[in-house]
Amino acid sequence: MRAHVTMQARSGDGAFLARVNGAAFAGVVHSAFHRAVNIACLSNGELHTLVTGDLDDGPNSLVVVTEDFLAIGICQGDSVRAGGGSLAIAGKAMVNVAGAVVWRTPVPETHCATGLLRRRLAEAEATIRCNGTPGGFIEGMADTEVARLTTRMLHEGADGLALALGRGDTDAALTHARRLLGLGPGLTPSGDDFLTGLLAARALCRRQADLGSDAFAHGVIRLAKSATNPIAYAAIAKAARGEVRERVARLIIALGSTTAEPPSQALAQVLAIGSSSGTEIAFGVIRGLASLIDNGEWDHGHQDRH
Amino acid sequence: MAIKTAIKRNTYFDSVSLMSVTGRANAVAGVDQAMIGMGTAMNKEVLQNVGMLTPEAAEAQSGDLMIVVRSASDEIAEQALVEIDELFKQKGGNESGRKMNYATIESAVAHVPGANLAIIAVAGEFASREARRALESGLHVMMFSDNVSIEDEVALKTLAHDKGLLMMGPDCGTAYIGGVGLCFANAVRAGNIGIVGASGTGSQEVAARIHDFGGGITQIIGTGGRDLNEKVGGIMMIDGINALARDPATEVIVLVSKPPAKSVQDKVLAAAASCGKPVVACLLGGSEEAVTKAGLQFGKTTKEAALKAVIRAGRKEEEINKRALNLPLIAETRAKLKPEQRYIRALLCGGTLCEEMMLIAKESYDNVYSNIAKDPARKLKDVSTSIEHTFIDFGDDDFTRGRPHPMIDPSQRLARLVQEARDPSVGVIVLDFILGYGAHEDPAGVMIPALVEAKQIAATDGRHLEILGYVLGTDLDSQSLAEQTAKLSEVGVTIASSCTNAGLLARGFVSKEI
Repeated sequence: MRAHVTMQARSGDGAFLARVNGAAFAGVVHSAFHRAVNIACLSNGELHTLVTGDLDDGPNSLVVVTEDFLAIGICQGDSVRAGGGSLAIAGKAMVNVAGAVVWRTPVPETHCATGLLRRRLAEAEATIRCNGTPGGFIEGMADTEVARLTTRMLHEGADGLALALGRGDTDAALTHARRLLGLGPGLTPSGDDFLTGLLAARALCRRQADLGSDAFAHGVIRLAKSATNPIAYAAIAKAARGEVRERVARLIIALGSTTAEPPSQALAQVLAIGSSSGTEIAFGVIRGLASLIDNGEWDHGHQDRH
Repeated sequence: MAIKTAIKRNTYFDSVSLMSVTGRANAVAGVDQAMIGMGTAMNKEVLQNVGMLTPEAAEAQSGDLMIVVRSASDEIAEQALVEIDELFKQKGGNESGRKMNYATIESAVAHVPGANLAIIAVAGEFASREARRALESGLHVMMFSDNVSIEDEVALKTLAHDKGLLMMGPDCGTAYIGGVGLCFANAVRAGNIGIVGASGTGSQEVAARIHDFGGGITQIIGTGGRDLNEKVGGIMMIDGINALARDPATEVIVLVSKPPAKSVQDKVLAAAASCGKPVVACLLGGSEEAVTKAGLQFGKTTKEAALKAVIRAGRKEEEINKRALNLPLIAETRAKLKPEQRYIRALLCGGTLCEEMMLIAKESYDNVYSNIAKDPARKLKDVSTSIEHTFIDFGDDDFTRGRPHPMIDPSQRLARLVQEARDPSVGVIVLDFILGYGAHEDPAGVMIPALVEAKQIAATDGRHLEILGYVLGTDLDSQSLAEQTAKLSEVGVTIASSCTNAGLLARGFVSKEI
């Protein structure tokens, strides 16, 4: 019999920690990778994620002090039980959460002037085009008809979406979003990553009172459920509610607020996500913030938000 | 141009691997282009637009991985798929010495030609589908999953029966096949006794007692707890008896279950009587008359069943240490308890262990309550509050819905132990500690602080609290039976040698009859 490995959670999403500490849940390993394990909750299907210590916090995630989940033998279909401060995976691993730092998505406390935001967005886009990873929005990974067409469709969708959001046309925006969902290479298709960045930027930078009433965000959640895989859907659904992994939130704050962190540092951290996922997310963040300028929301009501 | 497709169902590789494989796949000699992506509608639209959407790809779901290759000939495309598959295997990695994981049963069957048994442990709603796939692939099935409809159970067992396969479960937690313990099982000596069990811990207990009495086990075939229900009709119990009847190594068969429905009992006993080998039937709380009338031996308790089986299997009775009940201990403990300390509180992980101890108590007392009592008048309305003699199965749904099993997470039992220790009417608290494959690494160790606290609470109140422990295990189990019992003894826990003896001791400790 393989002895189980005991691991310590370093930090974690507040709601996930609360579930492990208190009212327990049962789940099953949906997918396992070297640096992440996705767990589907049996009661509602929602995904929760364990990530290795070198990754950042995120919604429904625990950062666990370990290097490789596959080396422990965790695999798809393993049963998961949690409660009373620990999470057990199929007799292979036990994660203790006592002492784990509670994490929540950071939100911008201030908003920079529109002119400054425009300049930052232009600089960031230039950086992404120069330093981003080919795959989806940036051509070059494979010189094939499939790759070229995919890139073209991604740009068409993203441009159309940005224009529609800029003029406040939710129906048209959803039509373009539908054509981005599930489009592109990667575990989380490029179009999904783009939408994750865009939705997170909008949710975190719109006025607080509007977070729950964004018809576009709700529409994307509804469409994404059947248009892409559960991992990408989980990220989109959380982003639409203003919950996104730490690195992405930091980029949004660095671009849109008056904090001290240079946007270039935060952008470099995002570009390092996955293969080309970080590149697509960063493009989405830029388009999401730009859409708030274009539809007049950035200038309206931000100065009193603290 | 030839186009070939491979679909990996519900398969997730990280993006870095997918991108890397895509790049290398497009570099395979003779490949015009390769597309590797999730089977979403938009990715299929891309394939459609470049003329590469095959019928297989069109059927892919958003959680499936599509691999589509276009090349000059079928041969090149086929070879490219093989090479791409090899790339994925490398990405999957064996570098840490881990076993290969297969996303589907069909894939596992294709890659492990010698495999003949599948263990299904997925959410109940998916379990039937996977079990059917396994049976149709020619595999015996052990289904650990529960929450499967009884209609599905009947259909699966009928299919297995027709194919000459075993369908163990749903909700089958214990089996021991070909010397390998599956899910929860103890390490036991090889021998000539086979067990067919409708209860997991019941089978474990009988096997452990057989081992302790010097006997050995050939196979333990689990049936799942509902097999003897009238609707299921004991299909698996009867198939299990027949399988052991055909097994040349098995000379004696033991049946373990709670009492079946009458019509099912008749069928099972008839099958056992005609199997051609001696059978000991341990139907806890069942009719001795029916068993003996069928020409079988009756085991009233798990211990008695094990003893009869071992003797029938050839071991001389006089050479067996029968672990006689320690009567002086009963007298000694009774003397320590105050007159008001009249009740047993059994806090157990094993469902059958709870059932057996409760049956023993009910022989002497009417006021026996439990969360698993069949009699509504004796069923606990509030499982968090004990009434008089209370026997709690912490593995029942009352305690495991949305929570880990107590064999994994002891927290509920720890709290209850301390709660019961505060009750001045309690004379004895009974606990089980289950060892073996799949069980906690140190089930006694995790309880020690609570045991010490419980004893201290009673001592502060000026009363003796008897805590009776039973460790279900063998000297071959990895957790070390000797160390587990020693840990408990050190903090003043009295150790019973079997489930049966634990029930008898507990009953005797609180008896106020002179």
